[in-house]
Amino acid sequence: MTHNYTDNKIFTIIQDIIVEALRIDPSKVEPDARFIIDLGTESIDVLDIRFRIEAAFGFKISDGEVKRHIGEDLTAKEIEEKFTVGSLIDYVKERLAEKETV
Amino acid sequence: MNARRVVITGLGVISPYGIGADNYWNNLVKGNSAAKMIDTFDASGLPTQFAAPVPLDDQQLDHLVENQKSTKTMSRAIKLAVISAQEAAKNSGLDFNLTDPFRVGVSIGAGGLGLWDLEHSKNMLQIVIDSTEEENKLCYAKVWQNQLTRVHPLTSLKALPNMAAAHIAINYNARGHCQTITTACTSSTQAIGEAYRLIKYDTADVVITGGSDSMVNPNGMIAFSMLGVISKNNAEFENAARPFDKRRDGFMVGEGSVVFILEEYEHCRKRNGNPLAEILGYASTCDAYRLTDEPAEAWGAREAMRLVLDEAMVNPEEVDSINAHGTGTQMNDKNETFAIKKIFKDHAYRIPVNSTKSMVGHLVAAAGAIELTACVKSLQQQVIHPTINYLVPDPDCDLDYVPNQCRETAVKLVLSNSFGFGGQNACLLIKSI
Repeated sequence: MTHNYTDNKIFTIIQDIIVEALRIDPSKVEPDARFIIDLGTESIDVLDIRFRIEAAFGFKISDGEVKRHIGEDLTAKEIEEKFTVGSLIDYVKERLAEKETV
Repeated sequence: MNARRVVITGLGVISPYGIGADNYWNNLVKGNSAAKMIDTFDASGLPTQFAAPVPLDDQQLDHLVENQKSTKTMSRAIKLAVISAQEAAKNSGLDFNLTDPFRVGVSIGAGGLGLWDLEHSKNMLQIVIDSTEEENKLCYAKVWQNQLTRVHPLTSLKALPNMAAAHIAINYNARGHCQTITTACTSSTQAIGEAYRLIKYDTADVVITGGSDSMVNPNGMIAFSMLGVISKNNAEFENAARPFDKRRDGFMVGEGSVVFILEEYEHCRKRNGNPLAEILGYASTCDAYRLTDEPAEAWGAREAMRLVLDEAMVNPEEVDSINAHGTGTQMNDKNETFAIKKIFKDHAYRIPVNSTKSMVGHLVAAAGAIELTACVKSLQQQVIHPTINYLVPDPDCDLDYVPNQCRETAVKLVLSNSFGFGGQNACLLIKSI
């Protein structure tokens, strides 16, 4: 069974989550926007966004999973650079695709 | 070295009347009761169905918080504290950017009962309902699992008592001593008193202090009901909060927050600040007796009043008015009257003794702060607000309680009393400046 999310729908849901969690203008939610550097994301915001993504898309995200998706053995600075809205969108798409193959 | 003086230079209030210190005071002097029948949840099955809540819902409070993102980590009480801190900081005129951040402290009285907020309670109950197995048997393992997925991960931050102080410290870059005091009904009196000491003993030049509480929710009302301390007079709810009256049957639960900016006097003077009042003394004792009963000899209350007068080097005859703890329970009002007479002797009969709780109810962790606000306003306006709903005198409470009408009179020195569960006693003495 394929999932029913179009790319646009996935983006819109994630955008709404980020806007609500970070209380920022939707225009700031662009694929290249870096969560920590550009959007002022703190560690508690990461927990918040994870919770909302899980509730919205119906899958669990285990600890460190998104970080592993961004890259293994990265320095903290590299993670800050690579942890973007786009990387989160890619991660969600991968998880949805996995769900559809189960 | 000259002793450091401590003045109040900023004030922010959210009371059962709404927002603002002036709004609060204007209602107090008119003797307006903030009592209303509870309408935020179905209280029809509870013994007490009225209270004095802040008349703003959670969304309205959210919009008032300047840092919008932070509201997701705030209980209702924390929001009230942060909003009143905003008003206090603004009207103090203090530029926190020009103040050494390590000389700015925070000292807040809090209840730390964020998990009793209505929305969380409802969420938890739904989780329990959804965690049953066959024959409606509750599966506890499912309850805990469902909490993991259905309770927001930041909920615990709403419950930690020190989070109000943390938010305030972040907002004003207050990097000095930061503390939270949770001592039931004396929380904010002690928080303010300890803030006064921080400045007096040169640990800080500025302290953001006060208290906040929000217990007009099912768990709060049930808790006080089960202890038998709140009035059940639903039929006469507007007149039910009647401190010192012979017919009194308990207190009315109130809600709100007050934040003060306390400042060292010279620090204020150098920046051309406007002091509202000066704190002359603070004292705190414990009855070490019982958890809720007060000893008939009122040794803790008496000693707290004696100590605060002693620290301020003030004779009892110099005190112009007393803002009583005055809850409206049979025990407190009788014991407090006894304690006042022991300390003030004949002068007790000449001092007006009023109870703010007659109008706004008992704000618990914020009670001391909101009552000190009334004292500050008294000094500024030379008016003592009334104790309303006082109709039937009690022979055991035979002082001048400023019944029902406010009184214009010379006021230079005011004593504020707070006594709490656990045998806590705390007093503040302030004077006009």
